[in-house]
Amino acid sequence: MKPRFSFGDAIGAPVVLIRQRPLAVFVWGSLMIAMAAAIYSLILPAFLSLPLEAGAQEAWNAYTVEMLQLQALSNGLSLLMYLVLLVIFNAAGRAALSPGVRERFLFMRLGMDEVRVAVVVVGTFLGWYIALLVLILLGVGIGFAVWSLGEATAVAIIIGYVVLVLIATLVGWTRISLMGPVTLILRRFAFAEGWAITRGQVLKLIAMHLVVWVLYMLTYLVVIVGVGAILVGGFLAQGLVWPDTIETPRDLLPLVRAMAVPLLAALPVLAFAYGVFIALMAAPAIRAARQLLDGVPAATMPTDVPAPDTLQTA
Amino acid sequence: MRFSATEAAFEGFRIVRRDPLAIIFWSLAYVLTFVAVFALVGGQLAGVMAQVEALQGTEPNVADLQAVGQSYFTILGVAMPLGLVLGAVLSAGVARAVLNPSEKAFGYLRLGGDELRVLAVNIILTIVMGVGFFVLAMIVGVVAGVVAQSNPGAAVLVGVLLGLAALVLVGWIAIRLCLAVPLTMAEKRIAPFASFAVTRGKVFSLLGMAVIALIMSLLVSLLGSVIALPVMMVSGGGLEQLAALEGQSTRAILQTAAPGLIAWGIVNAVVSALQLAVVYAPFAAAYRDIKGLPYE
Repeated sequence: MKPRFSFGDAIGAPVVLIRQRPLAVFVWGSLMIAMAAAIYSLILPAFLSLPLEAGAQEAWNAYTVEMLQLQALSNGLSLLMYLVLLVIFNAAGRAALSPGVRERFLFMRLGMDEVRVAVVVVGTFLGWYIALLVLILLGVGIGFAVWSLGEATAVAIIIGYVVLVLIATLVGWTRISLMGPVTLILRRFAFAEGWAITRGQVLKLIAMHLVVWVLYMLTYLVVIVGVGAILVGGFLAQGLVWPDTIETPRDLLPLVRAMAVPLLAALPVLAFAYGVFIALMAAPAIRAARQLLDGVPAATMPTDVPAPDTLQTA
Repeated sequence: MRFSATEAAFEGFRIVRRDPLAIIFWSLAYVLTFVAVFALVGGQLAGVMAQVEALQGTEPNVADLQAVGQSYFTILGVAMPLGLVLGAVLSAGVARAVLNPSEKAFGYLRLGGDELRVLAVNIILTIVMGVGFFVLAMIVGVVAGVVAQSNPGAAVLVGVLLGLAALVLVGWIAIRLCLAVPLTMAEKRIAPFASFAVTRGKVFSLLGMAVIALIMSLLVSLLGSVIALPVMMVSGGGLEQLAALEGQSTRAILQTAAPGLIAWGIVNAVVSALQLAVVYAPFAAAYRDIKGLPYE
């Protein structure tokens, strides 16, 4: 019998995860918010020292050097943020597969699972991107070749080719979209398995990704409204007034200081929301992959089984 | 032992775990080479940095470019031979770590017959691949040009198709030759093309292994840059600071920029050594798993 997955189970997986592990969701989100806060805390003071006075060339030169150094630092922090994101994504995946199981560090680990998933994510993205590039190059070649057939025919062929390429890239992306989750589940590189289990599931998987995206956007809107309400409420409750003239970013400092409490109050909301986003992005795919691998929803993931990769000594 | 691409891809990490001291030796080899290059052409290096910086945002004239080119070729004349020797010593060392793990003295590094054979094989293969690529590019260009005489539109399609085919062919040949260094080490002979026989029927597995190893090397490099950042901030920066020291002697440059340069050199050496292990070791492991260990 062809392996199948339950659409409802997959879409419901983030809800189950959030309901069962609210603390973990909050901590995952807090870590991401902490990383974002670290990057902004570096960049914002630099904006405050922006030299806006006319003719301040020397100040501008010094400022440019400072900004370049800060940019290098923020690039490094961005890389660190991707690493944290990878750890959290894998943690959410493990948690979604292991209902009722307790694990130290809220399922967050830094080991070979993370290396494998990172390799698979980068590899699948590169493969998809190179395939897209080749198709575009071929399209350019075909476009030049058919131009002599007459403008109307050429345009029709090119439009047909573009539609074909769009479908091919969408199907291709869907076929590779479960390689990461399967690699995490099987604890070894699973390019072939990830490709094989999506055979005959493309439309259902596209629908799943679409619903996840819609849910993401709806959640995003709710968070924006919620955080906005906290900030606007804090602003109005203190009777603050937006300054008439803003000549330098420093003119906003009194306002920022007054808004510190509402900002701090909004942080837990943002942290939990970020955790919800992670759960929303990670859980459906991992649940679908688990069911496609063995045909039925798995109760637990064998978390203490050593990975069968090459770090084991012979 | 049966060859598994995903197993072999992790061989570099296995070496690091089994013998972390090897990474120290490989890093030292990089540092010593860097010191040697800097001692010989440190002044020119600072000059190139300053010249390139001065050209940024301007319209460079021929004289400017000639000046940069001259300094660059002086550096290249010293750095390239040293780089080739270093490459041979290190790739031979990594292969030795996989094929002869008991020979661990000096982090598996030697300077003997094996290294000379590997150097010869590397040079032969670089020349062959360079010439082959050039010939293929010429063929693509000529065929597309001939087609363009009758149908310029079709020439673009022919160029794209032949260009892609040429890239696939070059990639296929590179994969077929990728076991040349471990084969040279194991069989102790200069046989750059003997790898063809060993890799028969295993192209896709070896390609997958190489892709995984390259991505892991990229990840190591990214992690290295994250770790390097605070080190660079504390020590005052890497090579960029040389631009301000144009025209000064190597001694003066060292007096001013030594902490930053040392930190930059050490961090880069360690990251490069790790990348070396991650990228090269899988090929030696693939040879070992396909052909068996040399003393078996």
